[in-house]
Formats: sequence, structure tokens, C-alpha cells
Amino acid sequence: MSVAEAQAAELSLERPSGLWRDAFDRFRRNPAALVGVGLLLVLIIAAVFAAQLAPHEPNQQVGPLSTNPAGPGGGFTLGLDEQGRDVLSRLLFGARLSLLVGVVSVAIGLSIGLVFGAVAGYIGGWVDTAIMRVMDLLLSVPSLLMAIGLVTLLGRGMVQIMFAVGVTTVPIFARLLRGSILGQREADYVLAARSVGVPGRRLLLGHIIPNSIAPVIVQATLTMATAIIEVAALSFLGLGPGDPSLPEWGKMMADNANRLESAAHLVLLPGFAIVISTMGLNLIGDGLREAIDPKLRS
Amino acid sequence: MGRSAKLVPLLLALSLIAAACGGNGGEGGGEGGAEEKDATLTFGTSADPVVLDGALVSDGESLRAIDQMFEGLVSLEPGGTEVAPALATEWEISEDGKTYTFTLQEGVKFHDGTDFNAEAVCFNFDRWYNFKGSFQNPSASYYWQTVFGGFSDGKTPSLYESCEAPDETTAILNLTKASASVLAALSLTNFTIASPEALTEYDADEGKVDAEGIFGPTGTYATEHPTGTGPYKFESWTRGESLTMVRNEDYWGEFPGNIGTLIFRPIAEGSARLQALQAGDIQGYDLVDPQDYETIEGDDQLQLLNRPAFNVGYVGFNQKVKPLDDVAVRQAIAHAIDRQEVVDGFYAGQGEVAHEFMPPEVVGYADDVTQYEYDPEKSKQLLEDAGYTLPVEIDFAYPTDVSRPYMPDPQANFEAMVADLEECCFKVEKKSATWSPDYLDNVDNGRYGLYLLGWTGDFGDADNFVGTFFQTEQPAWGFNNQEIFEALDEAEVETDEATREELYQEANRLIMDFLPGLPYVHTKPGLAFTANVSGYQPSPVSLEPFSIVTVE
Repeated sequence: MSVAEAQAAELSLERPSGLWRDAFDRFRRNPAALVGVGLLLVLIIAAVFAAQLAPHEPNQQVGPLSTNPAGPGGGFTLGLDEQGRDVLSRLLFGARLSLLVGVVSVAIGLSIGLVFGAVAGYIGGWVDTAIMRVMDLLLSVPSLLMAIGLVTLLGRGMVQIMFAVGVTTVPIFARLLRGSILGQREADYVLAARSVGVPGRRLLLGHIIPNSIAPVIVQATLTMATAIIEVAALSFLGLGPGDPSLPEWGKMMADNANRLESAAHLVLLPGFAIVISTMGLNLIGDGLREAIDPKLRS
Repeated sequence: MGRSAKLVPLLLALSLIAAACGGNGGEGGGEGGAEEKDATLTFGTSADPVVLDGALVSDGESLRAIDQMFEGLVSLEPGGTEVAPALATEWEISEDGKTYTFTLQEGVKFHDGTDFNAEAVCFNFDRWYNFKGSFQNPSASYYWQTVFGGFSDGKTPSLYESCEAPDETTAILNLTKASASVLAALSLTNFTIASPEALTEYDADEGKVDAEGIFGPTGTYATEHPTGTGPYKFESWTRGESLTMVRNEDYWGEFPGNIGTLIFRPIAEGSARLQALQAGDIQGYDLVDPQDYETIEGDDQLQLLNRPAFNVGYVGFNQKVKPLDDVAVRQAIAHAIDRQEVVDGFYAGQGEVAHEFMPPEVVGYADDVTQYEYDPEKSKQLLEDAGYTLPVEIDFAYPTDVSRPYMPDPQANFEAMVADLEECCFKVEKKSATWSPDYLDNVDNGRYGLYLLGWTGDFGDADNFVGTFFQTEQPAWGFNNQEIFEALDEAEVETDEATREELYQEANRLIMDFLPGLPYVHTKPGLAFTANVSGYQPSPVSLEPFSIVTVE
């Protein structure tokens, strides 16, 4: 081993420092964030392995029809619902729906929002003004109200609902990315890159966006939690998926709201599932924010 | 045919005794023990009344309140559907069935002190007959139009011809054609007699239709001055909070109960009504959710009462939607649905499986109609024999945001039936809409194939059930079967009771062979009271006076 090689090996022992590496370290040392990761893992495992974990099919009748279905314990871990279906199985398959809803609607909002935000922030001028005024307009409508309007317009299907909820998140992402890009546009490294002739498109995609994306990721995590709640709220208001047998958590709660007295588990368990998953996402989001936010960096 | 009431002199005597005893202040009391009539009862209703004018309402909560303050010419036996005397002590129907002569109760006064007499009766009938403009809106005078048809403007023919008052106690009702169901219909709360003076003074005949087509009176009669002859008088009404009525001290009839102040409080949610009852805020409520039956029956402090089953819940088939025009498909659907399981599961022991479109209590029910037992194998066989490839595609709709006595939880019924249908041999496209106005509008205009619906009888006559559904071609059913239409026409006008019963039985057999829909349940709707309330008499048509109720 030559001296140079030894030196190189020695150097590599000292970890290269950088934004993501530092952020990861800070995140790892944040107990609340780790709890969030745990909760999210529960949600993901439930969603991915629903078919393996669930003792029954979500719509399979395994007990008698009843207005006063059996509660937790007995032959069924979490009891039965009024159609004689296994509540545990429905909750597990419901996790699949909720996760799908969260991911898809945020993906829709994020991709549309990113395009608008990047264009507005990078081009600036009247394009910026036009896009941002439209975003302000959208932001001024309460998101649930807008989602209700869109679902009424588009019809009551799972796809329409995800789209409606996704659209309501567009202005949030657009504003965030635009603000972030404005901050980066005049940074020294951008000026340097520009001065050596890096073309605009590569400058935007290769340098500015990657450096502006951190707050957007934080926001995406938090928005995913909001999306799950919003879809549940839509279902609760009677605008959920048209098929009543889908095991959507918000719908399960709404269907059984008048059974709080006689079969509380039918309302509390889906509610608990919503709380767990949104709390997990919120804890992760907060942890990420603390880890990434430059102002918090030492 | 005539009927006389021998009960009336006795009632008069009793009320005189009661009045005499009432004066002694109650110390020691009399033998009857019901002289102190100063108890208060608060009753939880599902909604506010719309208005307090019987001629202008068709919803149960308005009718419940109006029932306490008003009386009609005839009533129904407490807890039954037999016509009984009320303001008319007896009546006679002419040979041709077109003239009804009522002998009226003497010495009756309206709450405003004016006399009740034959002129007052005719004033009311003429008022209904002469309704104009917005008062002819179906949301206003629904029951007049159902029973009597048109108005004095002659746009549609009317069953009503005229009312005569030859003397104080004789009112003669002339009809344009014979009708066998009109006497029972006169027991409807909608045809109760109001004080002509109050109607005039408080502008009962002024009203308008709002942008959504809903009628509302603009005079103060129906909201502040309803004036009848009943055992209770109007006291005050704060919308959304309470309607207060007090005992009519000058009531002509019997008042065996002890409730001097009667308060109706609207509480929308069934579970909230139960909580109010448990907390003692109310002493009784209507429309108990089936899932709460167990809680109430298991509580010593509460009691559960049930009305006789006087309704029918059914799956309607719209034959304009293929393949429902094929009787084999309709039969296959009937055999594929396990009605017993639905009734056992969702009606908490208060339901029975229906085999006809009217309850067994109604005259004209046939015991020998074709029955469709649960047999999915037979369904498959029927469909395959008719040349269909399984699964057969159908669409099926249910209403949201509603609870009716015959379907407390429509979605639960729907999901269970869909599961049965899909397990057997159908592929179901699931549809839903809010009950009012979308769902009913869609059903009435034939926009669904299969749909959940039901009916609660207004009075004890077969015409009020099968006649309502199947006497004419309707978009909801989408069929034109002259044999059934004619059978029902013939039965409706028949005045001989035995023949009429046979005609309706025959019609029921025809209907259940043709299978225009699948009736699946008759239920006994539940009422709850605290244990110290006694005397309440549940009625199949919800004609339930509080004047016979006692609170300990």
C-alpha cells in the first residue's frame, strides 16, 4: 500500500459531510421522527401485505347480519361489522386504500405544482405573476370545499376523489418551490454555472431544483397526511367512493356513526387507524423539517 | 249502511264528572285518580313540524302535532284501523255511494270559543276544494289531491262535489262518483276541522311557493294560531326548540290522561334522542333505531313500545330497464335474495318477511300468493333456461341520508342484498343518491333498474297500498299490465266489503305472479318511553293521542 493509498483510505474514514448526510444524522437522533417512521412502517406493511395478514376477504361475510354486531374478542380479533364482515380484515385492506390515496393524490399535486412553481420561479416576470395569482386564487378556497366541488363535478369514484384532493394541494407546492427557486436563482453557484455556459434547462433541472427541493419534500410528507384525512372527510360527508362496500376508513366511520352507543368499535377502530397513519406522517414531516431546514443547522 | 256510536253519551258523562272533580283542587282526589291533570311530558321528535295546518302538510311530525289539537269527522279505533266516530257521532252512506250524511257531536267548541257545527264542517271542505294557485302545489295539498283529486277550477276532475249544512248537526258530503275508500280517508289528520273564524282572521289561505318549489303559508294561522277542537290547545312554538301545547279545559270528549302540558322537542339523531331519554330531558321519543332496542329493553327505567306493522319495504323493478322486462329475471332476483337473513339481521326482531305489497292486517291480503323462497340454485336455473349467460348485469340503487321505519339503514339492506345477488348470478352496478330530492326524483322518473323503497299506510285500506303502486302505469315500475290495472279499478269502487276483499285478494295474486317488485319486510316501528309513562297506545298509522297518557 502506497502512502497515497493509505492517505486516501484514512480520508475515507472521515465521512464526507453534506446536506443530506447531515440531515439524515439529525433525523436519526430525533426520537419523535423515529416513532413516526415506526407508525408509517406499520401502515406500509399493513397495506402491502393486507392479503397475507388479513384472516378474511374484506367483503366476505363470515358472521350473521346484525344491527348489533359482535365487538372485539370472541372469534374475531377486532369484531364484526353489520354485514358480518371481519373488521380487522377491512382495516388492513383499508390501509391499502388510504396509502394509495395519500401517495397518488400527493403525486398529482406535487407534479402539477412543481411544474408551475419551477416555471414561475425560473422565468419570472409576467409569467410568474400570472401563475402565482391563479395559485393565490386557488389557495383562497378552503381545500375541503374545493375537493367537494370537484367531486360533485367529476363524479364519485376513487380516481376522481384522488384527483380532487390532489388538485387542492397544487398551489401549496407551486408556491413553495417558486419561493425556494427565487432564493437559489441568484446564489453564487448558479451564477458560476451560468458564467461557464451551462444551458438554462440543465441549470434548472440539474442544479436549482435539486437544491430547492428540500422544503417541498417536507411539505409532501405533511400533505400526504392531510390527503388521507381529506379523503376520509369526503367519505364521511357522503361523497366517498360510490361503491359502499369499499373498506375506506372514513366511510366505515360514517356508516356507523349512529352505532356509537351499541357497537362503538365500528367507529373507533377506523378512527384510530386514521390517527395512527396521519400522526406517523406528521411526525416524519416535522422530523424532516428540523433535519433539513438550513436555519436549524449549526 | 250506517253506523252509530253508543259510546258517546258515556264519554260525555265521564267528562262532566271529570270537570266537576277538577274544581276541588285535587287534595285527596276523586275515585278516578286522574283529576290532577297538571303533569308535563316532553316528547322527542325527529324534526320540527312544517306548519300546523293539516290541509297543508304530509309529513309525520306535522301530523303528530296537529293530531293533538284537531279532530276530524271520523277517526280510527285507538291502536287499530277500524273507522270510529269523532266529531261525527254517526253517518249514513246512500245506496249509490255518492252521498255521505254525518250527524255531528253537539256542544263542541273550537279553542277560540266559537261553535263547531255543520257550517264549520262545510267551510273547511269548501276551503280545501277552493284552494288556488300555490295551494294546489303537490307539496301543499298532497292528501286532498290523493283522495279527492282536483279543485273547483276544474282543471282535473274532483271526487268532491259539494257540502250541505241543512241544520246545525247535519253535514252532507256529496261526491261526483261512488268511492269505497273515502270514509277511511276522512280519518286522515289532513281532513280535520279548523275554526272558520281563526282561518279567516289569521290569513290561512295566503301562501307562496319558493324557488325550490316548496310551498309555505305566509299567514300566521298555521304557525301561531292553529285552532281546532282537540284535547290540546296551541301554546307556543319556537322553531328548532320546542312546540308547547296545553290541555283544553273545555274539551268535549274524554280526557283520561294527566298531561296538562305537552312539549314536542325536535332532536334529529336517533342516538341523541336515546341519550336525552336516558338523561331525563325527555320522557319519550319516536323512531327508535333498531340497534338501540337492546339497550332500551335492558334498562329498567325505560320501556319500548311497538306499532303494528303497517308498512312494506320492497325492491322495485323498473321494467323499462332490460332485462327486467323478463319475468324469469325478476323471479331469479326474488329467489337470489335471502330476505329472511336481512330481516333477522337489521330489524332487531321487529320485522317479518313480506310476501305481498301490503301488510297482513289490511283487508284484501291473500294467504295464497306465489312465494319466492331463497334458492340461488333455482335463480341460476331460471336464468340459464331463459338463455342468459351468467352473470347477468343489472343496476341497483339505494338512498343515502335517510332512515325510514321500513328501512332504518338502507345501505345495510343494500349491501346485504348485493352480496346475495353477486354470489348467485348477477353483476350489480351500484348506485346511490341522497333521499330528497335526488333519489325520489330518480325513482319517480324511472332512472334506476332495481331500487330500494317502501311505503307506510295512511289509513286502513288496500287501495292505499296496492292501489297507490299499481293502479296506473308509472315510470318507477315501467310496466303496462291492463289486467292488474283493471282488477284494482274494479276493487276500488266496490262497496260491498266481502266482494271487495275477494277482488283485492285476486289482485294481490295477480301482482305477485307478475312480480313487479320484491316486497321484503313489514316492520313494527319502535317508540321509547321512561318507565313511569303509561297509557300510550301505538297506532299502525301513528294516530296517537297524548290525552290518554299518564305520567306517574
